[in-house]
Amino acid sequence: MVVNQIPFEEFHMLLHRQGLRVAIGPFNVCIHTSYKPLIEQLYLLYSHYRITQDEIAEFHVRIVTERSLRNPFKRNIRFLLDGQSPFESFPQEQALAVLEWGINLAIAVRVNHLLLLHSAVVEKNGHVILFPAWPGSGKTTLCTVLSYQGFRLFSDEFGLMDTQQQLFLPIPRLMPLKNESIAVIRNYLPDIVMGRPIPNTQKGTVAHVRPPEKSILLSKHTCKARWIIFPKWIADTPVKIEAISDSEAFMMLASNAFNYEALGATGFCAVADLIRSCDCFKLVYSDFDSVMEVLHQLTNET
Amino acid sequence: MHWRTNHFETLLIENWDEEYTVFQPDSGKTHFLNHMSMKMLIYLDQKPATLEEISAYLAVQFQQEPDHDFQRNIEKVLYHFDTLGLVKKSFVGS
Repeated sequence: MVVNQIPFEEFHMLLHRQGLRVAIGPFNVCIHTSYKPLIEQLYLLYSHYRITQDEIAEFHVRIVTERSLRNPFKRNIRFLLDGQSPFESFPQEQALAVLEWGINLAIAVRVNHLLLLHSAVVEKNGHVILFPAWPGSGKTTLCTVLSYQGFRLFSDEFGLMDTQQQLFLPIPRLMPLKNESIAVIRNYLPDIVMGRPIPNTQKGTVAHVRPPEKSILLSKHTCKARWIIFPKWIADTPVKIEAISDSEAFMMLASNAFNYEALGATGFCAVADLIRSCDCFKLVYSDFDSVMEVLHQLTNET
Repeated sequence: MHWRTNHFETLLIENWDEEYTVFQPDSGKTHFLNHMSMKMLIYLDQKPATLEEISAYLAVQFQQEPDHDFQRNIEKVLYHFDTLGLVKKSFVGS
């Protein structure tokens, strides 16, 4: 059963009482909150996720409201992971952004049985394309466009690699667009479901895009990687894709991982295997039509 | 003073067309080495050598003039590798 198959009242009750358990990629996340505006947003944006009430949850997270110390008439929200608070409190209107960051944090610090690359990941023709990049390079924006234009979304943030089998695991989560990207995507993809813009967050204004239903339905379908593309959005720049050396790709990929050093030799061997099995490129672009053309050409050549 | 490798046998080395990524289990770090640096480590792994011997060997291998500047550059690399724990100094009798 998926979220949009239950009435809002039941959804509200689950979040408020025992916690809503949903399958997000290979993990079950148990979410508790009584904050109604957040519940309303989750009902819309989590509508395609499978409910897993009877299964074990890897992560237990909560959004609770509390009085602001500075202003007792104002209420803030706080994120809790297994009862612990890794962040300070935030204004109530940022609840969704804080929940999403909190779940990302939980994955980034708790998951060490997989190699966690900091990378957008999509699938085409049975093969994964990795877009490893640090924040600010436009990978979430690019990933949003690709995942609604014929590519299957694995993640806009995490390249989850099973190092034994060299397989990537999908973890399709909400895609948080930032600042100018929000209007750009609204214009380019007017039919997608997007949450309300949340202003004044640590990353500016953020709006979350609901992942495509098909990507969530297929989130148990793992794939091997075939291409590694380091993307960079630069205004008014014609699209350009060029091959890079394996050694350069190795160092860039390893430095774009959350737990590469923690995995030690396992991480080193996994990255080496990955580089050997992929073609590696740098991509510079400014408009989506051109980059789609380049990527369709690349993925259809093989 | 001689230079020698430090736990060279434990390093995991990937050759990417004469550029190398090296995993060092002792530190958990990954290093990026060019061809000359790798030749230097391999040479030192055969036997300890002085700066002059290493410089002379590499100058021949890479068709360089074994002049003062070349030797200075090799010395800098050796001291850098020393801080990384890839090589260590040894003294006669030690």
